[in-house]
Amino acid sequence: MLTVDNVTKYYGKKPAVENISLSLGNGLYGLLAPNGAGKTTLIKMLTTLLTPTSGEILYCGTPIEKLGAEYRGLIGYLPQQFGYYRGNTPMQYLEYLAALKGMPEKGLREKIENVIDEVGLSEAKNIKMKKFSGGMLQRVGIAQAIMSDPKILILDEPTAGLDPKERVRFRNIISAMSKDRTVILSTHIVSDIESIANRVIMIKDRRLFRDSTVPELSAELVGHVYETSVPDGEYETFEREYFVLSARQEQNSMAVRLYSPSPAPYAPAEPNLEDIFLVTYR
Amino acid sequence: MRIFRHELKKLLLCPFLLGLLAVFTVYDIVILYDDLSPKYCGYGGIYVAIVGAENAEEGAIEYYQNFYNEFSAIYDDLDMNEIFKQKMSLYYSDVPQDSAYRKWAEKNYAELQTRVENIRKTGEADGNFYPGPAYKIHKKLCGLLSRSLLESMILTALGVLYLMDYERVNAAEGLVYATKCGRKVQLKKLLAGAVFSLISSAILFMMPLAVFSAIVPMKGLWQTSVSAFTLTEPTTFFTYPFITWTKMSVFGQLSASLGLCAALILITAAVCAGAYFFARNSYFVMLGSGVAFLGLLLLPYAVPAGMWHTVSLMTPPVLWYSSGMRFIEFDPARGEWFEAATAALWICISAAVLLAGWRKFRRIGI
Amino acid sequence: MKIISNEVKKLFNPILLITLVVFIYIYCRGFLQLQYWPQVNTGNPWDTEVHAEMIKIFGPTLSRDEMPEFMEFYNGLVTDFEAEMQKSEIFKNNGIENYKQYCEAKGELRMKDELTDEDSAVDAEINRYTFELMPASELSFKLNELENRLLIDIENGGTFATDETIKNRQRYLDDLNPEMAEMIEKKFRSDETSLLTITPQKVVEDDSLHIVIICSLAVFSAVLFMLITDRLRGIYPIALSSKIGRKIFRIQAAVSGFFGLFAGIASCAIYGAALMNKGAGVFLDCPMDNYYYDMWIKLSYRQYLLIMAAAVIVFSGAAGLLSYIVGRFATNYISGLAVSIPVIVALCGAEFLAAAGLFTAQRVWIHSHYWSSAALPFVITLPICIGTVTAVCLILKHDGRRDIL
Repeated sequence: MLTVDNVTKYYGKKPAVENISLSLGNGLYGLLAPNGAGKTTLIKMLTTLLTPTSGEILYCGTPIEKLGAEYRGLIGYLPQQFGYYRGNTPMQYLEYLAALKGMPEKGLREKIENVIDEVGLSEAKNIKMKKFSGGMLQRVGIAQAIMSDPKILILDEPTAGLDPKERVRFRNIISAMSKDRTVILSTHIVSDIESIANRVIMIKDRRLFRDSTVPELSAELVGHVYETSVPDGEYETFEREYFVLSARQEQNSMAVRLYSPSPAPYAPAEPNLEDIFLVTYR
Repeated sequence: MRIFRHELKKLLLCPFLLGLLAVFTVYDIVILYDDLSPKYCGYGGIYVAIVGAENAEEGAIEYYQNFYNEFSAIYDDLDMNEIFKQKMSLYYSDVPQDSAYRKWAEKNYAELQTRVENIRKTGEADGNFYPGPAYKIHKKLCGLLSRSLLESMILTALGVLYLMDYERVNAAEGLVYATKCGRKVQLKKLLAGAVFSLISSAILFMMPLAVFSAIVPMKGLWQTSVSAFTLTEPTTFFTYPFITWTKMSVFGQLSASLGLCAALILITAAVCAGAYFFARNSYFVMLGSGVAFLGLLLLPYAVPAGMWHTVSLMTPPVLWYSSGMRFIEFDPARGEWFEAATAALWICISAAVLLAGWRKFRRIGI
Repeated sequence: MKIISNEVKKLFNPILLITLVVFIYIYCRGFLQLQYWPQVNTGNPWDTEVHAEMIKIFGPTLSRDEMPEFMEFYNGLVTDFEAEMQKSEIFKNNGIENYKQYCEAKGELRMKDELTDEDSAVDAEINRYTFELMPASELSFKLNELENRLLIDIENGGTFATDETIKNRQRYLDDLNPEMAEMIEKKFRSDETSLLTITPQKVVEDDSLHIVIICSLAVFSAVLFMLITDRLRGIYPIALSSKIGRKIFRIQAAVSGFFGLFAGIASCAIYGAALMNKGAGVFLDCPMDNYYYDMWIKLSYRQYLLIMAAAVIVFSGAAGLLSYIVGRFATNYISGLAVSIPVIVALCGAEFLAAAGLFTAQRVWIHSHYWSSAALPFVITLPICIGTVTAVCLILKHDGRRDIL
């Protein structure tokens, strides 16, 4: 169990995260917040790259600072902008990281080949990474995060650069992994969280806003999300009156999805996580 | 061990570091080859005369005999106390006559005078060697060490900083420091950098030494005392032999110098690593190290004569600069244990910088 | 214009600037010879001053016909010295009444192994008159310079030579190759001798190397930092796909080259001003061919200064372009520095050889071992200039066509 106990982080006098408390057991947690809300700061504190200004983070009741290498040996981390060594092949890169992660040498090569296969890079395993596309690099990043079979898997924007097929594949992998470990998935691609997250953690203005399941969050918006079609000339007026969640140009009109706190004379729609995100952070 | 091997491999296969090592080695050999262009009778000819072999050329014998007649009595009138007074009036005339500092320096020279008398009594003054005034073999050997040491220090700094800044340059800091090994990877990098520096230094010292040995026949001459009259190399103001603080052969001095060089190279690695932990930018650490080296080299000129002047001399750049006079009487501001004390002082300083830097680095946010 | 100014701003990182300022200060204090004016490469602190006095009387050269006036000048100094000698009781008591007796006593005491008490007193007084800061020591040094530089040299056939006196230099001339021997004999027999002394020339030659070292190190430090930081920060994908496109490389090359030139020009201007402030201006019209040196091309000191300034500027500009070449291909800071070290050493070595190559004297190993010729400075400088410019042009041309990312 990973516990975040009233953690605050200041950069100088500027707060980045304030009084966040969480309990993270096994399962997949979606971390949702706009840019600058404190998501990356929280993740960096969970991965020991930053230390909290106040509060503490505990793993099974022991502060992670005290556990040190033992704790870091349990985590797999994929940063938002992860660096790679251009002159290395994926095999060489993963071998090096395996050494850093303290993975035993026995059976290592096989393990690495398995995880490369799992992310779909078998054919490119001996090609230098400077020749890889963005998506291929991202898959290498995922591979290094999961190869040590971590107890806590922290992924920051893992599906950036992946095509839909790869994204689905990735979602399946981590969803399966979340059965017996803690997986924290931070992303702006709301559909990734919606389909697989057990719980959604929302941060607003540097503080914890919500820690709920997707159905619980959706239930709050039931009866407030509508869909309608607005003629072209009237859209601007419409937009001023209602909070538009999405708009799609059709032949002579706009197909609009909107949020209204009070009942509106339009066809109700089933709220989704993206609606929740937009309404929460409008 | 695996990580250490990975890091060492990075350096051993690094093209620009290997390229620079090659350039330095070639440069040293070319300069040495030019420097050793034989004078007068050539090395082979005079060597045979020195060791007294039967088939020595007449010209070589005559030359050596003349040199012997001129210099063999050099120890007879040698008075280190007089030399002390001359040097003090030339270089340290500002030091008050009754100061503790002067008394300390005077005491050192009194000990040197005892050593000189010992040299006379025991016959240490006699010893075969290439005539110092003409061949300057001691100066050339030390010049070789001086060049190799500077190049080694440069390669050490580059190697250590290359490794330590590797993750930052490749934007992989977050990834690497969040692993089990974490920030301790930097210590393994430092170790790999130190090992690389010793390997590259071994090449930089041994290659020129091999060339030296190939050109200058030294068989039977390595055991000659450094204080033998044959090594005497006159300077602008003084003509007297090299007076070592304790009895030392040419080979012994070379070995001790190499040991000191190894210590200086490791000190360089530690200081660069410590500085990197604070600055976290290899470029600025490298530039800053260069400026600091220059500053420490010139610092003694800015410090008036006295105890602080002696302290200002106790730096690696000054030790490098005075490669020719290691373990030899040279300057009233230095005592018998000057080299050892300097190395010890800087081992402490570099350890302190490294420790302080590491403690800061461990806590810093990435 | 904004792009150019932005690129120029990148060169001036604050930490880098501070480091460079500290470095330049320490380096100049440690190595620049101008701070030791007028005693550069000479043990005589007054030789420059006495030559400057002579220039005011005789102009930049002294001619054979002016020897009587020179002897008047010389004898004037002797009279002044003898007036100072009168103040010494020790000289009076030992019968040393005039300059000739003074010189004889000095010579005799030097040859003696053991000195009596009287001798020691005279010796100490002579030392005082030579080394203590007083009018007598100034006159003593001036007289010494005139004697060594002119009177003795005339006697030895080195200046204003006649058929008789040239025989004293025959052995020296026989050691030279015929072409050089002819040139130097012509100088010895000349009816005019330059009043330039060693310090004004030596200080410029030594300091030109130091200035090139400073400029090279400063330019390389700034340019490498700019280019490698851009590469590491991933600036190029955005820049190259913008309107300016690949022209950004040309701009960076131009900025680097011009920064090098600017560093060279600024250094020369500051140095030149300081040099004139020290009093070197009096020597501007003196021929460079003098007692100490012979040049392949007959130049005045002014022309020599301009050539040295041009050399510094050219080599600094070359440093700018070379730093651009290194910075364009270095993938990280350390590789950039590692490649720069031998490049800078080679560049500064080339400047040293080119500057020394202006003179016929075989003062550097390349002259004495391999080749001594008037063409040497050009053979060294031109390939560097042409080579660096060509290399940069080729790189930029290639950049226009190849896949960058």
